[in-house]
Amino acid sequence: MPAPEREAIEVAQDSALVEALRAGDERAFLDLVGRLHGGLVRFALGFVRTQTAAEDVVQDAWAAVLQGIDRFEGRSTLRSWILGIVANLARTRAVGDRRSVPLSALQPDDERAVEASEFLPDTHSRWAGHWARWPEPWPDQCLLSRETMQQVREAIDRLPQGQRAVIQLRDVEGCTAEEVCEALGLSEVNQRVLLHRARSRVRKEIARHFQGSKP
Amino acid sequence: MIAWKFLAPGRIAPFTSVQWSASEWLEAWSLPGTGIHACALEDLPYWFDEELWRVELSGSISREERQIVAGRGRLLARVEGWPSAAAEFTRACVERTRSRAVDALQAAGRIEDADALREERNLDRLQKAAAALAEDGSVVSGYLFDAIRRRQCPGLCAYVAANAAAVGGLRAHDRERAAQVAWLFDRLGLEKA
Amino acid sequence: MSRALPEDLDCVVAVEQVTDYIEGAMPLQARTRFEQHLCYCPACMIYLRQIKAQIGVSALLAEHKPPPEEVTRKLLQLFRASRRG
Repeated sequence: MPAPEREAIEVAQDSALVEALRAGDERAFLDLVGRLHGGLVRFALGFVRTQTAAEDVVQDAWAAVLQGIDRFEGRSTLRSWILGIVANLARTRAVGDRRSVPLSALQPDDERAVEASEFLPDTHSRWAGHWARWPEPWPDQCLLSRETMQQVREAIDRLPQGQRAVIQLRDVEGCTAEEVCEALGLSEVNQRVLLHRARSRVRKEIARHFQGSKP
Repeated sequence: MIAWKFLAPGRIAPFTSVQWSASEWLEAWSLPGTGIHACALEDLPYWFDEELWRVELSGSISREERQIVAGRGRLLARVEGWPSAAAEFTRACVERTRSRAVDALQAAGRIEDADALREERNLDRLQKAAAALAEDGSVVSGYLFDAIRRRQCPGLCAYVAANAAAVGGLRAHDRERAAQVAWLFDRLGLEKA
Repeated sequence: MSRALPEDLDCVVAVEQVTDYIEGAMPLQARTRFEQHLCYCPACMIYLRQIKAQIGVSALLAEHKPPPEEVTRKLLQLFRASRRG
């Protein structure tokens, strides 16, 4: 289903849920927590250093959600609102914990999806700018192995903060572009640039992993 | 109007992965993207895939860059000769590229090289000879090497042949593409609608 | 020259467009050029499939674990407190 339609459905379902929460419906609340909590902690881990810190942040976020639920306007999805709260709290906590900015966060503006060395140079008489060697297709069974999934997990966790946040929400959690822009305060274009760079970096790691495990 | 469409095996649209019904109309509004895409005859070499179908289009129809975009479309009949004719198609691309390489070598005064290339009957030896000539500065021979190397891939091989022709200018490029279309038209029996 | 026609994409350019393409954020002309590139470039087609496969694997990483009991209990207390008064 196209994203705008999915989002419309979710916003509609949200308003029923928000009503239930405001009315003190514990079941509704526990359902919501059950659905979102794990993903929120994982998301928070992209900002703070430890599992404990991430869990604290999410705990505080739920408190803020409950405080603010009466004022929630439903302009975007409930999930994106909650994610925004987590992001803000996590960022504040990270500054407080003096989590150092990794060098990888200081990226050049022109980060390439694929290293220039993978393509033929301008001096090539026929195929300048084309792949020097075709990439190897990734076999399905290797992709779905626990080991590969772990590699992808770690590759995502190694990304610079902004890229990690976007790819975690888009590709892992399945949020729409609109939700991510709302949650992270990004323009559509910025969100796409971060997603592009994040996916490219992760792809590089997967390719290296498959390359390394060749006999 | 009648047009043509390449699909992946099983009547699957190559980019949207939508499966076309064997006969029902497909509506543009039911698909992601801008509409039903199909080929005019002259667009065929740009869109190769496994299955080639004769299609009918209706609704709002516009001619876009190397494709037709329509409001609705349906499959009429599968072109039986494709992809079994793919190897012959690429062979023809190779041969036309060989002619261009021979002409280029002759124009450069490399008569012996030109003759050797023209006479070589074995495809592997031809590929090696072309590679050697490419190393030695003959760009068109380089394209001949590429065309032979990529003869399993009609889209790529046709593109290589077009590039080889383009060395001689835009008109030569267009003639090569027209030759590719003419080959498909004749060999596959694609009657104009 | 490496391109038959100036508007043909190089692979260097094509790989930078992959995200926009998957997002559906390209105007028709750019999208058509990208798709045409894929029709003559198996390498970039493989690359696109890799990215799509990667997105598929990423989705499998979503955490569906419910929170531990003490967390649920604490949150329920919070909820009840917030709805009182």
